[in-house]
Amino acid sequence: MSCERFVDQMSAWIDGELLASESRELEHHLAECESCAELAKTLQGLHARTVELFEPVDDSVELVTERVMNQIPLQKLDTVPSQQRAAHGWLPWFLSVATAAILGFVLASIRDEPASAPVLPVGSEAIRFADFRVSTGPVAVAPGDDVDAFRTPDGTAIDVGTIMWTGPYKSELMTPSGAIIRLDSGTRVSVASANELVLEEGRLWCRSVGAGSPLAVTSRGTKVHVDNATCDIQSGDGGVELLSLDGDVQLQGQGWESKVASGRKVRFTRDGLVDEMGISNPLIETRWIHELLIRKHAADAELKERVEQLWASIGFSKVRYLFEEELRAMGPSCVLPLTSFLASHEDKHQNDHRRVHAATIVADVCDYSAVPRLIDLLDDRDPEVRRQMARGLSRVTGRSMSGDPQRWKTASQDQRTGWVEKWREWLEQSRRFPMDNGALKKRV
Amino acid sequence: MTDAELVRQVRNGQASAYEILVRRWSGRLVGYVHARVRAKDVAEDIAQDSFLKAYRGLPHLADPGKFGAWLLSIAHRSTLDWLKARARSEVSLESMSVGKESERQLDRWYSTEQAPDEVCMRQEQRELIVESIDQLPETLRQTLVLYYYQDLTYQELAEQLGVSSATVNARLTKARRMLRELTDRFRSAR
Repeated sequence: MSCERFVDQMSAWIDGELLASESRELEHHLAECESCAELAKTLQGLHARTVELFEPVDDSVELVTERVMNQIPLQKLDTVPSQQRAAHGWLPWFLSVATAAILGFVLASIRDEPASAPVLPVGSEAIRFADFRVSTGPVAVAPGDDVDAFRTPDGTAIDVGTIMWTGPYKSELMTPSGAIIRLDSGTRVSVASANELVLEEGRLWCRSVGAGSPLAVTSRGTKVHVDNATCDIQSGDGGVELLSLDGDVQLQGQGWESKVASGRKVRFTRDGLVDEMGISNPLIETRWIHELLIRKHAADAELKERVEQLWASIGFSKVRYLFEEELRAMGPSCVLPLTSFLASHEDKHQNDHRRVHAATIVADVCDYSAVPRLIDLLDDRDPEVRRQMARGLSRVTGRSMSGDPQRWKTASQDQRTGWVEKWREWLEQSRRFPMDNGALKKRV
Repeated sequence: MTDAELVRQVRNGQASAYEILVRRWSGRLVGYVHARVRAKDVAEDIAQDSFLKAYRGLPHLADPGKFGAWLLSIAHRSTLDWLKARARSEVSLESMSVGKESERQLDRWYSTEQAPDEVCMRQEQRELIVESIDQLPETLRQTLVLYYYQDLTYQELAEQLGVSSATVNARLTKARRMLRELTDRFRSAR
């Protein structure tokens, strides 16, 4: 038999689909043909890795099952096509129409009473308001008015009629239209409709993007219309404070209306605007959301933008310490944007002092995941930046290829190149070989 | 009880039968998604969402016996949507003079556990295979994925796909050959 025929049989052989006689013949050939044996070994390796890829994750079964079955009572099977519907009779159709009518009546009747969460009729369809995206801890989510039912939001859906109490945690939600709502700790909100929240106490930040998908937040009898805008709303004893961050926000009270332009901060009560407030800086005013931002992927666009804004503010503000404080509080999450800033040093006019400042922060807060980037920056043109990168590497890895990081400032190019190579080798080996009390242990 | 029987029970109003289906398929579904998104919590979320979409769409499933494959196609689309959404929100590191190689490294460091042993090497091979599977022609990709996902014999898979077992064999042979070439190419490019 030619090799080609054996090669064609290899797949079936690996999968145990050959007859015993065919398998023996193939195996005999593999014992004699080096190239076919090599090919078989490669295919077996591919097969083994592919099997691993498709390995079931058994310890997720219980969690996923519980979450899904908790949601099932709120789900509805899609309507069958009309020609099938006729076979089932008119009753199901009539019931769904009647339910929708009842639901519409109930929602209409409670529109002017935002203080209490609406009670949906039994059997009515749940209307989605938003989904949880990230939380700093388990917040209380309860249908209706029973806020003693504390539980982690296993299901991610927040439907109309839900009440949320964040307690000591913060949470972020996203609506189907892409609006984002962030809830501060100590905040209680209820969902009045598919696009309206009632802020009963605490603080929230919200952004409504694009036209045609406005969001409304009602607090102290006043509705805040957020349409293609971003704002921060805090309900307290003295009234409600509203900071308009981007775009204009419309207030609609009982007998009064007002527009709050971007950059303004006002306080209002049920009776109208009572105060125009000065703001220090929007970044500082809304720094409470950082605890949610740092839980996102390290390359998240909003996280990057926030870090860059804080970083820029350090250079231009008299109270720069506040921004640096916030930046450092973000910990390893600020490392990616700051190292990108350092890496983009092709502009020779860039302020060296600021680059060193960025490098110092990186060295202080980085964690192990930043090691590759720090190694890349060991080639930096600025001696102090190089020293800071070496300091950071030494801190997180416990190693040093140069002895004192200070040597990175004065060593020759050749010496530095040698040390960088040593770091790269260490990095490569550390990913392939197990460590044995700090010494590399080569696998046989 | 077969998938087909359970699906019929759910259609007849016995929602509890769905729990058996979820238990039966969730491990494999999470595993399949996890191989692509490389974050277990995200994989569980996508799996959960896929099961709920499947539940709502059960009346549209023409062949109840193909519930597993159908569920996989729902999860596959949800996974692609998630990957696209993540790509849109990621920083363009090229604009910061950081090369593609560093970006790949960065992604690896930020999204996988840093196991400094040969587990990392296997992880890299699995990543290459994931990339390569996605590059296969659709018919080959579908056959390969369904084969590993459902753990069927050639004959069983052939019946499901409506082809002969010889065709299944030919497709898997060709798919693996292409995988070998693609993984070598991707490895060289890294």
